[in-house]
Amino acid sequence: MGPKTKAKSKMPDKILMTGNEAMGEAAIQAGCRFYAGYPITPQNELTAYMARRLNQEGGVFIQAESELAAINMVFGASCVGSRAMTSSSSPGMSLKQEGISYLAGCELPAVIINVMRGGPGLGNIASSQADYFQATRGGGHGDYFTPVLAPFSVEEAVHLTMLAFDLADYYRTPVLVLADAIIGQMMEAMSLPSKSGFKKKILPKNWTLGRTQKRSSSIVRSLFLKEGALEEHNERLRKKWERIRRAEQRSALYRTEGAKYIIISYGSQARIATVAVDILRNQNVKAGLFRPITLWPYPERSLVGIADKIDMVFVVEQSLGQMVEDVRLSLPGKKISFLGRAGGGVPTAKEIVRFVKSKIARKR
Amino acid sequence: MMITEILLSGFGGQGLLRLGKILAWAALKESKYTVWFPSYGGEMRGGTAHCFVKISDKPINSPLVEKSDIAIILNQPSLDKFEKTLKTKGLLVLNSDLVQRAPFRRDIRKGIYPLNRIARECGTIKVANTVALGALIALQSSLLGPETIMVVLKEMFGHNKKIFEQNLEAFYRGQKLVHG
Repeated sequence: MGPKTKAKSKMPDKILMTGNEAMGEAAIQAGCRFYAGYPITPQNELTAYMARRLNQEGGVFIQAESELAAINMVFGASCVGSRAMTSSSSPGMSLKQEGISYLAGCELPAVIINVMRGGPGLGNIASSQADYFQATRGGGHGDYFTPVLAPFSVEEAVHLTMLAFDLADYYRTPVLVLADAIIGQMMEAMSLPSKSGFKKKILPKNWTLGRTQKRSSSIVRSLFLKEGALEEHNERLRKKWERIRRAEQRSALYRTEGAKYIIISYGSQARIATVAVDILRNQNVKAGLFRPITLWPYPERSLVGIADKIDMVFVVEQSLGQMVEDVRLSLPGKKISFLGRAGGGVPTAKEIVRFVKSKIARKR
Repeated sequence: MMITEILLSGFGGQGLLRLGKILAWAALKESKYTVWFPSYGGEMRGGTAHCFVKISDKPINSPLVEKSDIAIILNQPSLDKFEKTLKTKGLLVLNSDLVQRAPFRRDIRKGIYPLNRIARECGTIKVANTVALGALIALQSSLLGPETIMVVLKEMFGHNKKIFEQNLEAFYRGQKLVHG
């Protein structure tokens, strides 16, 4: 852990940590006492951090034999009521999808962190946002969604990891934290809050496996063979996804006052888009940034809310165009332009500025 | 000072990532904003390992560095790779013991020193990075205070008296290279 600042400084109690380490510490502060994972760059520091810290906290750390084993160990720990987490990067996330589908089907809370790298296949280890489709459309088989939280700073990675555990327990669902290599690897100052700020009351886990004198045994399952039983189960899940969709949309704005043009980016790309907005504003181009924090549910309500006064929308991603589809669904009929780079390419502030200005010029 | 972007590069094992962390720790101690970003994983023996540090009075948006104000370069492959990414009037701190040529650039400030030799005189070649740090702080006094650096060295290495003293000596010798 990094140095502590003096209390009188303008950044009291800030410490320096990488995003990977900070998400590990945040999980422990949130009460995570079980972690299983399998090494993969660029999230290894997170696994290493849990190995070091969880034992100190009396928790359980397991380096599993594979990603599939790790997610199923998390499944087991969640069944008995532990706050459980696993983490990986893109290729490893593909391997975990079966387990995530089972967690969703069994309504088990769990937190899964994906520090995205380039794909498809083994790809490379550079930053990427190409797992958006996989993350926001369930990812495994069957009708399900998982809440997806996308941090754009080390401090926000801390907040969202803590929030992920509360959302997971409240809704009894796996929750994804979708970070990228830049967020995982970078080190910056942040503070560790003691709570996530989640306001709703989380009920005790009376559904866990095991029998006590106070209650009879319970069953955790995703197999429903009796005629109509699975449809009934799916219908109940649908109502849950609808509840989450209504209640848990989150987003942030940057310099959108009086904006005619809006750039939409998330994660590390939103950091870079912020620089582009500043440059454009300095050149009297009325640009602002809309930044989704939840990728599922997509924050369409607040996006639609600001879209009336917007002439053109620019979506910038470290992918060939994934989140842009949710923007199109949210803003039918709107002029939407896409700028993206894949395979470790990161659209720079200069590229964004040039792109925005060329599109505006073409429209005139 | 608005924002200073720093590149640190050398062989894996020369302590450039650690040196970047020292700068970031010191920046935080002076209540400045800072971001440290490493190269990770894809390095090979004989090649370069590098990191970037940003130090600013204002919050830092992009964590990435395209062109740097300062480059600390400790070996030849790093010079070949990063000499061109230094901004005009930027500052280059170069280890003459591990480069075979002078820098091409004429539009930059240069501090070229036998960092390995000085480090050996401090007791171990491992502190060549801290000698470079001393030279940097002497050449660019507005960046961070030497007292702050010494506090960080104490916090980082204080648990081992020998290592701490070698680093302190290296930091002092680095400053002396500039001030004479």
